Amino acid sequence: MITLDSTLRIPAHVMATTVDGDTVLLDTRTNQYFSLKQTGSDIWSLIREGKTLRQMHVAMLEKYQIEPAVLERDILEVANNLLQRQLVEISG
Amino acid sequence: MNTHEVKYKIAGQIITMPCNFVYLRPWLFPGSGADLSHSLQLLPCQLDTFGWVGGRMRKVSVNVSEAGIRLEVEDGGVYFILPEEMKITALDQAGGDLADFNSLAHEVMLGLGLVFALALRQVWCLHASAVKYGESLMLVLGESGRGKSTLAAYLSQEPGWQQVADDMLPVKNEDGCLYALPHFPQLKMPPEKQPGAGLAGKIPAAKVILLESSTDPEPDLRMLRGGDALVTLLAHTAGTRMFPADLLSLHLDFCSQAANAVEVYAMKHPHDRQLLPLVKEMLQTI
Repeated sequence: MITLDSTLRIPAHVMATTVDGDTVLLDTRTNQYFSLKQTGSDIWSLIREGKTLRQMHVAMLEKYQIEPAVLERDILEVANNLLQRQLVEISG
Repeated sequence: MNTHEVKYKIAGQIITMPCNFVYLRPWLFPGSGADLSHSLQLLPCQLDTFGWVGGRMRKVSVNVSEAGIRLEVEDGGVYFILPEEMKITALDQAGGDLADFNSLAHEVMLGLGLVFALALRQVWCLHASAVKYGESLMLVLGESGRGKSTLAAYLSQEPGWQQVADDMLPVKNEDGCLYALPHFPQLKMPPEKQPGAGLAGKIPAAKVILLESSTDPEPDLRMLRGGDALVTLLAHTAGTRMFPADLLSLHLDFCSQAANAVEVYAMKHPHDRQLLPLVKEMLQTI
């Protein structure tokens, strides 16, 4: 189960590229792609940096004018979506 | 060495084929030279998938080794793409030369075979029709039945417009631009009416138009940006379902650069012939 203390990692079968602030993920096992808009794209780049979800929460609170509880819910929702699609794995 | 081998210059690449193809006649390469451009070295792998070949879904097995790519099509023969020589060969199921290339073998070699051979030189084949308006080349993408060919055929009859491709168009990135390479067979058109035959081998692409289905009576055009533009290009490249992971990665990089190099639009397109003049006017304004 993902919590704010989880750290996610990107498995080898997932590739990503960024255009105009959007990130597009490619699952090379299924040739399916997924487009992440602004918040999702920010979360992805913080996953790449190896941040815990709590560290993401702190970093994104500085960037966005948003209620902490709303941001926490958003981060957990995006992380769970990525996990369900096997685009990330829990590393710690 | 098969004495029937013939060289063609297709989408800018010299490719050796195992026999004469009437569809490739405009691009016969009379020289004995070979293209020494570097081909990609892919990691060995094996993948099985399904593709629409010869009028039905067939299992296609792709085996990548140091020697090249082996394609086996269910009830349709075995094909090799040899990257260093840029050669496509075919065997029957028993391993002997296909003495008599049937129409299915032709379809595989002119379809999947060329798609893979070109991808090894980082030339990617878009499922697209294409038209030139003045000096502006527009690539028209869309699922089958959305009206790509109908639109291109209509526009090509209008003053100032010229058809460049009907269904399949090789493209590549170079110096920050996206180029169309129209010397490529359009298998849904007669051999004597290949639109790319009289054109330059490399044409800069200015715009990409994605045709979307619509129940609205009026067409509507909007620009796509960022990930939406990129996904449009990813989704309309031929053969990617059969690409190994390292080729998919390069293709992702290609689409990322291409999305920055051209304007990408989506057009809600009712696919109504009476609206084609209006669609033409809309395309002329962008």
